[in-house]
Amino acid sequence: MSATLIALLYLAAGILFILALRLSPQPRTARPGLACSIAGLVVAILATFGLAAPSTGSSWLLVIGGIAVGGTIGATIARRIRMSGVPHLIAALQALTGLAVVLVAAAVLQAPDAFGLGKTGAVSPDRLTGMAIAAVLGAIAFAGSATAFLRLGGFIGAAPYRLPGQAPILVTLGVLILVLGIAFIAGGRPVLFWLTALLALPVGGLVTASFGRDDMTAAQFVLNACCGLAIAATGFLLGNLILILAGGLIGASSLSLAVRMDREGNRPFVSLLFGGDTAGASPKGDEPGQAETGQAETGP
Amino acid sequence: MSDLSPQQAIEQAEKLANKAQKAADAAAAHADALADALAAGGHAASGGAFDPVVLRISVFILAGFVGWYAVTPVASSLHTFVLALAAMLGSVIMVAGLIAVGIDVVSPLDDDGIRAKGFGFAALTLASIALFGGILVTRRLASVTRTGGG
Repeated sequence: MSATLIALLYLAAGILFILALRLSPQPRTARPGLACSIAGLVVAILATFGLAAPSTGSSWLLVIGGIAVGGTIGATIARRIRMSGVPHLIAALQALTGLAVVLVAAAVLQAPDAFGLGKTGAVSPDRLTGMAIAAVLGAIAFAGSATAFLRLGGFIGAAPYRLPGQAPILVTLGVLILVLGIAFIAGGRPVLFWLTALLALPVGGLVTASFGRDDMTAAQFVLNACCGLAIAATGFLLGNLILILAGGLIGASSLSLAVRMDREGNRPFVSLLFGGDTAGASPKGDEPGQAETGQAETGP
Repeated sequence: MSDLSPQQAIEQAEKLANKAQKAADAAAAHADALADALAAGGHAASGGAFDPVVLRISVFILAGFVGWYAVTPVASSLHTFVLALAAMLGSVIMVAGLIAVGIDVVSPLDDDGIRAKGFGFAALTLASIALFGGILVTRRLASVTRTGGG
């Protein structure tokens, strides 16, 4: 398949995603919105087969095996679960997505050569930046969604929980992540990559734990935004436009939805999330998405 | 040279062949790099004047604006449905999983490559769970929520 055709298919997928976001919040158009989002995902995935078709039989086997195993597990769980279990199933699926982002970044870290990004240790800083941001935001989304899963599933208490001295802990973690992340981008040492990702886990967990069960939907939208930005960072890492496009769309729309929900329900989650207590939760001041949260904060 | 035994000659020939192979690989890599540079240069000369990174950043920022303004206020009965849909869209990361599984591992001794493929396979599997699970759950939510268009 030619590169132009793939680019056009990616464009079509992007348009379908935009339509899905536009249509799905309204009761009358929710179903067409769902159809658009499924179609967009299918187009994006099929186009990717044209972009990076596995070149060997064993690769094909892995691709088909992975999709078959994952698809069977996902479909079985989604069918069997009771309606009351749906909210925490959604959180679990979000956690898996976050973990997948971290794994992709780790794959590129292991063998940048195979992705056409140069030998280990000679990867350009802009790619390493994408790798670091993907790992940090992916880990935050994973840990946060896992916490949401535990709370919604009733495995931990429904009431908000905060560590004593949570604010300074989060600030310390944020600063550490920032420093180690910059050190990783400068030198590309794998140890620093794993350390940054590990330090991001408690950030996601602690921030999410400070949301009570009733406010969890808003928190999940924010975690989804986090995941979206991580996907966009993966797009920068791989130089893949549909990941950047979809990641940006998911990130911004999820934030937007969270803020609108907040206005409707009069829930103080924006102050909860961006207030003094969790100032260290967003170490990436240079993220465009974060600039938008800044605007959102002054809005209401 | 005449005092070389046949065996030594074969060894030397093998060494030379290996060197030639390496040189060819290096040349191929250079050709790739050159082609990339030419493509970028041609792009710039043709008036596009785009560094691919600039293009990517533009797409990202525009996608951010579109995403921010595209969503309308959510009917409160649809909160869970829209959350499920937004989470389902995240399984587009499967694209990256596919790319990571599809990389070429040069030899069975290429540990890094095999590990990378393994990570890619795990990512692909997790993303597939999220994709299929997400689609089914979102459809179920659409069918139980009152969606007038249905």
